[in-house]
Amino acid sequence: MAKKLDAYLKPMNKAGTAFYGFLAVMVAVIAVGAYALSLQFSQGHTVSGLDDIGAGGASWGLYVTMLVYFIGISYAGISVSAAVRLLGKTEYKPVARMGELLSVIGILLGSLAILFDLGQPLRGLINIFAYGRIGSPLFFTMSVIAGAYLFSTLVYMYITTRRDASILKSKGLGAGWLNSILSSGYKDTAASRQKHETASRYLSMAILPLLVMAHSFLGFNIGLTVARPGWFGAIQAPAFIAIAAASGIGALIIIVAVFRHFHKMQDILTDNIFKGLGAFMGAATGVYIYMLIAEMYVMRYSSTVEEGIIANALLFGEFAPLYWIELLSFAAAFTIIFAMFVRKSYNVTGIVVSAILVNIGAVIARQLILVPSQTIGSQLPYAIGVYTPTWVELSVVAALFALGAFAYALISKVYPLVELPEDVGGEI
Amino acid sequence: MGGAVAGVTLLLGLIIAAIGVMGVAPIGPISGPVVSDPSIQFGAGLWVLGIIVMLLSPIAYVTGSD
Repeated sequence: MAKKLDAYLKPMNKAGTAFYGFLAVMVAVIAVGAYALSLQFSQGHTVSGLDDIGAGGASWGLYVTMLVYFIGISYAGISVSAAVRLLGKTEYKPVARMGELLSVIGILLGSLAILFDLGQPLRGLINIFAYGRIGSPLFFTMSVIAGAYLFSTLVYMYITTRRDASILKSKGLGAGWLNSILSSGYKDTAASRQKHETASRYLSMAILPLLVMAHSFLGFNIGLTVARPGWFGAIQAPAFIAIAAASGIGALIIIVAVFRHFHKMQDILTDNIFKGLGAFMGAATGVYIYMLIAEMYVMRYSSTVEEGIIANALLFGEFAPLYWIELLSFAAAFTIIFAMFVRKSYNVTGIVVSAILVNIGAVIARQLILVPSQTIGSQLPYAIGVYTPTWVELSVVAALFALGAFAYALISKVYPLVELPEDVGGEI
Repeated sequence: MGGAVAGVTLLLGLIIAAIGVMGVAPIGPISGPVVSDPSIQFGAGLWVLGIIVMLLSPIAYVTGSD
């Protein structure tokens, strides 16, 4: 039994030099980003590439791109947990909690990204609660995502971790203070397990519509902007869900692969898990490719003059290199997964490569949804704009990624990221 | 007992959220500042708080006595 428990707790083993070296690098990147951010706060957005739309720039740039990307990757958590709890796909239990932590970190990073976009973040934070309009997709996104989605995921993680925390506490493993808090009042009886299972199942049911609403309203922020060609349209909401599914599961695949490799957990984080996650990611990627093509077809065939300008810029103009990299990334990712399934020969490396390609495509996709419509797609007689992120924005974004990686790595040392199976533990 | 506490928590959250919804600016086109401002300051915050309180009900259920 001890040997079995050890296998699940490998990420919590004593950290080595490589781990501390990784943390040090992340701290260095965060420090550079913090310095860049301090410049932005003291000197204003003149140090970033952002500008007023009428003044030849884009007011929604890299920060909003990262807001959408990070919220998008938060899709992974509850979708995997829902598959486990509601569909009985217990084979994904080992990765459910990893997905939940990814969701929490994704939402927090996305929230930071949008705060950094504001010239006065504190004012924005206070005013949105003071004056937010419920009919506004912007406010609804914030309240549903940051309020409900984040908090419900935290509650879900708490409920599903109590048993594991109590086992670790009884065996003196992990962080004693954290295990005491999480397991406070818990008794590992059959009745208690049933209660927790019931609560987590109903919570999954409640979180699923929040998941759909959160990503839909993120898309509605763009899709309901009637005066902005390239943004306005019904396809934005479902497209946001599709790309969130693809990039979220893709990010989870990458994280699981890292843990499997560095902690030698091939027997727990099995090839079958990668196969299943890869299939879901591939399907979502296929759906998103279809939506990309459908949207471009409409823009080119019968749309406003401004949308035609944007379409040409994406296909052949200044945004063409990024657009084709995006399309080819998604196409390559989909082809790799599809080929594996046609040949019935699955390869973890190939699935991870697909996941990386999907996430590269996802970041570019968000940038191309936002920027062209601001710089060249205006219905007002503005001059053509240009947006290029400066080192300040790039440093801050790099710092956000580093912060996420740092937090994930640190938490993995004190918090059991792989759910312990039923036959480990017993009456406590 | 745990179920009862969870139910009360859920209801309390619902009430807070409802108060928040009633206190925010009306949905629809703005015709002036009287219509566009919230009737309860931080009504939107109450709406979010109500959602959070509702989400505490599963915790109340699992931590409550059997």
